[in-house]
Amino acid sequence: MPEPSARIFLATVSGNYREGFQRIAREYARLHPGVEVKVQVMPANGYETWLRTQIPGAGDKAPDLFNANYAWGMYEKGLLVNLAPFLNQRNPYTGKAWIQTLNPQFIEKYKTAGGVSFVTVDFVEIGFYYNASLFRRLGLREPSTWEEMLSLAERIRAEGYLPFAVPGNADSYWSGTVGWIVRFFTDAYTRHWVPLVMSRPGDWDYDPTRNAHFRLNLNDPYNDSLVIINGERLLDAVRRRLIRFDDERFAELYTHIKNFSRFWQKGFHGANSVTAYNLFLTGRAAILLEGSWLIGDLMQDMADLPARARFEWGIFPVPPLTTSRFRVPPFRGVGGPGLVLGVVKKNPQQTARVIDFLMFLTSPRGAQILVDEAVRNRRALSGPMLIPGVKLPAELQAYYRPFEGRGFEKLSFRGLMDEQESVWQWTVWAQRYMEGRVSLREFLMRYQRLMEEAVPRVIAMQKLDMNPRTKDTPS
Amino acid sequence: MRRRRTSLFVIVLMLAPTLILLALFNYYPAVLGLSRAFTRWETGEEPQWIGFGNFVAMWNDEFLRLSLRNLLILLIASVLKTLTMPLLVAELLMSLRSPRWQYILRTAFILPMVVPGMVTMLLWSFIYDGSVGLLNQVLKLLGLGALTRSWLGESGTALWAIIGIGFPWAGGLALLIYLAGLNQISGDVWDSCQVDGVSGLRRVWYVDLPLLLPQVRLLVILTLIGALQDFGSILILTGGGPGLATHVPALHMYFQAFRFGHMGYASAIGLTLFVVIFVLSLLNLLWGRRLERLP
Amino acid sequence: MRAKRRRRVRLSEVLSGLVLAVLLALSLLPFGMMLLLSLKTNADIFTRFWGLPQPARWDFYQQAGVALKGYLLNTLIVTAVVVPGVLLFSSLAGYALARLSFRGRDAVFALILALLVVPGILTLIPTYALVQSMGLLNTRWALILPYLAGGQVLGVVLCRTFFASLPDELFEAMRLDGAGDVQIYRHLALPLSLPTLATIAIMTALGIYNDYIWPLVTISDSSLQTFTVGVTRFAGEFNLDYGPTLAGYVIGSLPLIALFAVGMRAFVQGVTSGALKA
Repeated sequence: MPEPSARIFLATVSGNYREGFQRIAREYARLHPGVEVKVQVMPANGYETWLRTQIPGAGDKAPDLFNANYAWGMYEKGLLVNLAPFLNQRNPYTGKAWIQTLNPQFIEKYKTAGGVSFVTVDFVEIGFYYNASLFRRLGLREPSTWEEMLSLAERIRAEGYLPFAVPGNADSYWSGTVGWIVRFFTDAYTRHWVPLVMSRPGDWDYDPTRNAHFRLNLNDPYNDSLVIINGERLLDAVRRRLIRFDDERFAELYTHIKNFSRFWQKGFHGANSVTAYNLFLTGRAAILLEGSWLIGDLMQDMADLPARARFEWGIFPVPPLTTSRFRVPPFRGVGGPGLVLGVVKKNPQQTARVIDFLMFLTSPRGAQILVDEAVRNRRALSGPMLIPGVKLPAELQAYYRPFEGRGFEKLSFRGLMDEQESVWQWTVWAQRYMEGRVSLREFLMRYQRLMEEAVPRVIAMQKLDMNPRTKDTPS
Repeated sequence: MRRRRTSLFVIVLMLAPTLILLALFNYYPAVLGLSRAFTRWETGEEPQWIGFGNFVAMWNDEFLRLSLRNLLILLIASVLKTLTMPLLVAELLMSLRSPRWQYILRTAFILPMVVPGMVTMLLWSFIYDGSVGLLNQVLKLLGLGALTRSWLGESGTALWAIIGIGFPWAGGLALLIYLAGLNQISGDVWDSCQVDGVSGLRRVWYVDLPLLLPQVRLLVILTLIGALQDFGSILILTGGGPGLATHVPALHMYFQAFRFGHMGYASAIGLTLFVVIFVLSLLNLLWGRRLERLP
Repeated sequence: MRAKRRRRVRLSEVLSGLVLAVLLALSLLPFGMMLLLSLKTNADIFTRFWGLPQPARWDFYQQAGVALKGYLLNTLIVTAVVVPGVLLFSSLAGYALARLSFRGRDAVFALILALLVVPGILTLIPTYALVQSMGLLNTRWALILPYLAGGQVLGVVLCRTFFASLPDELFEAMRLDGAGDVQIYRHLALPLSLPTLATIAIMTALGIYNDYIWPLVTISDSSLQTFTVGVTRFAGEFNLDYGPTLAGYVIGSLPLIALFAVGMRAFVQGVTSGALKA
């Protein structure tokens, strides 16, 4: 057997695709004798640290392909390959340009400094999982508006069931269920600020193809999804109180969220996502707001339940709000790409080799292998595939449908630009408000103050000069 | 007899490892902790001297102010816990006449001490769980289903739930120290009590407690020092929430340093807690002196 | 008269026993439930909380063991380096401070004693900054070195107190036989101090095992993380099952229980003397 002349090293945390990656590696090696693909699945904890030591320093031993969402900032440092020039090249495994079998919108949305630092394979999104057996028993249908959902919740409660299971600990306010709810609400209520804070001609990050033709249109939920927001303009707007958090819009928004919480379990602030999931799985809670990644686990856990405890379930997307004093566009998703792969810069030959393999992996055939192996090994997919033409088992296909075509939220303001101190302070006051320990007005007053106080901290931390025309690179 | 002097070389060799380690990892940080409290020092940046700026900021920090109430309640509760249940158990153990049973029961009572602290914490978070928690199950069993709740999830109960950890707070270090103290009280004292007809609670109050004062003094200060500094359990159980319901200054220090990167400000909080501990220790020492001077 | 008093005493003893039994049951109840529920599936817990496991899922222990093995091993490695180090260094220093005469001896000892009043809350951040500037973050040394230093304080105090309490005649006898200090330390002081050393060892191991904050802030890589931090995270691996999680708690308690079983006397002595000196 000939010694492999070349080696491609894929180091990933996406354990759900383990067998898929391995089979792709085998099939690729069959097509290309002499190329060996090494697949290593690693634990998520510590992966980022490992990448940060391996990619800059380890030379040829560094991974070639890896989960790029664990390495923010590396592309800007010139450590990764800009994939943009390759996207229009012919993918030998499809006969078409590579970009034609990828998702151009995702690629476009996640462009970094004009370049493309990774390709997206699948995406994650949230939706309301519901107990379909219970719905049928109570004569309920999937709601088509937010208000309908709440009246449905009223019915469910009257029948002695808990309408919604919601984790409410600080983690949930930051990166979990309550955070998602706040994000899709805030995104809808602050859409009119996009023109104020987007980058304009002359700004360092201005991209005419994305910003020049944008007109605010609250009827089209997605027309701003490619618009680039300028961070300094946003901070300046908060500083000059052009963006305020204590106005009537925020009053209405947070009243809606508090009203919604009447249908959550008592003491939700003490619950984590495990507690909430168990409430749903044991049939005590009718509805659970969760991510697309849950589908596989839920199918498996449902099968493991004793027969009499099993139930049918379905998913509906976040329904639009129809009663507002303001013009509020429909809610959209808060998800993002799931499996994203970046290429480490080594030498041109190796880059060409790795790109060829990546084209194979992201071809419909490769993506199909990922899905098939995950399904066969009873592993969860993280969400719907972004590669066109991939076939899912019928059951999965149906479950994924509510997640499709949702687009992503723009402005969220859980704290200021994810600065952790303001996030914590917001969580503290939001929890006190939700518990009824402070009034709506006091909460909004605190909210406004903590956001204003965060501005100088963010400026100092990101070393901004507050001139949107210049690029300020954080060290 | 003339003592042969050991060579300086050997002495230095024997002391060097200890002294080098202590200088580097204990003395230097202690001095650094004192000085950095007076600097603006953000993670990854050079500290800048700002005098009492951090302490002024502490004065104006309403999160810190709100956390003081919780700390006060926790301190009082922890002292009360130490002074009551372990003493009761120690007295009851002493009243048993079979040394074998005394030994067996003592061992059983200190058994929870050998369960790792973190396991105990996680176990209690399971006990307080809103859906499957042991506490709720017990309440349902007693027909008190209406009282069930997510004990750590509501502002009204979270702090009390944290105080309730380890209920009935009977074992542990305090029990061992009380037992040691009671064993030192000579049998004669108790015999004469019996002769004088002083028994039961009266003996505990008028005889045992005064004789146990050194132990009480020690336990009070140890409990206070421990409670002032402890934030790991709160971090695990509630993260200081909901809202600020279980927030304490030590946790505030941890957040400031390791979440928000304000190392200088956090050092100032640390220094303040150290001063409080130091003053309490001094007061405790003076109390001890006064006790010794009593007739 | 006599009979009456005896009866009263016995009654009070029965009462004491009863109260003790109730308190003991309450104290041990959480741990009993931990054992019981660790063998049950979620469905079993939700539907029949108090019932015996049907069937007992002993495989949960294997699952939990696999998940925790790495963390336990890390703690073991750190402990295996630190404990002998603390024993060696603090007994050497304790010997020098107790049995050798040199200028500044009392001052040195006072300096070490003074560290007993420096609380961890003051030194947490600067020690972190120190370890960071030494480039040791996310390495085992970030744990080993500070633990080694921290263990010295109590270790030296206990060793010095013990060595100072030994009668001079023992030492003089060996000196007359021509033994040097190193020999006296090795063949006289060290063997006699075994109970004290056992106490120090147990206290040090206990401290390492129960420490949460320090490994939490200094170690970011889970492959180096210790048990106490790992046990707060490993539950996620079990698809939300309580059984294996609780089984993991039981497994994590075994090392300390073993330590307790081997050195009960040293343990009790250590805990109390540690408190008395602190």
